[in-house]
Amino acid sequence: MTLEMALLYAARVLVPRAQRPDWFAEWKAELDYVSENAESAARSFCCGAFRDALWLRRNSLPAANPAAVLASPWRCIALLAALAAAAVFLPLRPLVASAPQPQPIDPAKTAGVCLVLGLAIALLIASRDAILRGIESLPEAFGRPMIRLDLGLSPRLRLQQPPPDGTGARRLPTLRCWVFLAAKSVLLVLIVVFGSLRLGPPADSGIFLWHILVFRWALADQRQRCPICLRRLINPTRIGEPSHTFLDWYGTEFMCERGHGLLHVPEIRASSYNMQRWLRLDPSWSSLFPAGVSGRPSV
Amino acid sequence: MLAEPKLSHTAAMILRAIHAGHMYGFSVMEVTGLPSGTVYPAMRRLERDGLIRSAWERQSVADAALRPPRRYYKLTRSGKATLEAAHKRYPLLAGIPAVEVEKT
Repeated sequence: MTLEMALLYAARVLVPRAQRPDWFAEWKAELDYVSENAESAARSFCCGAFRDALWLRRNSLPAANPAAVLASPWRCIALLAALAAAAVFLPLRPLVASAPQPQPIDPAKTAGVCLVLGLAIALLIASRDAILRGIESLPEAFGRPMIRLDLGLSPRLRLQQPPPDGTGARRLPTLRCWVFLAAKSVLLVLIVVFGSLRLGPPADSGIFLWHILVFRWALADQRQRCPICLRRLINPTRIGEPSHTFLDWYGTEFMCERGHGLLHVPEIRASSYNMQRWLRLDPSWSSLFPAGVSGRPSV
Repeated sequence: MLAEPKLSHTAAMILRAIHAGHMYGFSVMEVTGLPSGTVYPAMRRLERDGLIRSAWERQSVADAALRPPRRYYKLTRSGKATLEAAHKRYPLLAGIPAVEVEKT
């Protein structure tokens, strides 16, 4: 194999799997032509394949993303449950062989603690949301921004907010969202607690850090889901231009693949758009989506 | 009304080269003098934005010429409109020479 072909094979790994055959065929054909006409330039020509492959990697559709496995709420819970079961029941070995053996764990007792801890965290997040709503309803004279500052509360903690113009007037099924978040929290606590205790040092020393990381993921995942069917939102589309910030809105818009609505995520927070907003689509949009799914919750 | 997409000078050069009959990557590189790491990603971007479209050469044609099939690029209708607008912005684009379009 020539060096040029080796370069193409190396760059090929960077290309998303679905586009690889076409991409490789095109570069191979072009290399054939380059070698015939300008043999000395063939090597530098092939180096450009890396930039092309990286461009494709960065701009490929989200369907190629492995996170698509978590698109369905049921699949997400099933995956987390499988990981939790593995952490609880599989005989994991300590990461460092010379480290002292971890204390034997009573699965029932620890699972009970995890359940309470997970539910407490989910309730805490929910109550922070309620506290924020309470603060928002206070008049400005009561020092609303100061209270928010003192309590360390930020609007970013809230999951979503319906638009104020009445398009989201129908109440969102919040109970379903919270049940889903609580289930994820419980399973994540199980994974972190059992996994880090069983793996022993150094995994168990970072248990607090693991908790922060997994709950950050749980919240980020929740914000990227449709509040009606709880499926992951798709088709991120950039709207507007940064130079029009003063007069116009700009950010990214996501869509529920079942046609329940759109999520507007602002690029920067402004007084008019300080957090992401859910825009519910009425049944007149249903013809654009697969028949029978729009407007009907799947969970 | 939708605004005309504004092209960078590089993208306009590539669009002009394809319109002039340089229908595959290496030919565009030769006529514009741009490196492969610029030309191919730019062509992907133009294709994604609907300004050009690509099609594979028929295997029989490539077999007759004793080479692998090539991927040819062509301007779409909106690509032609965008190129016309780009000509007003970059008048020197007209300097890119046209070639005889190869039979595909």
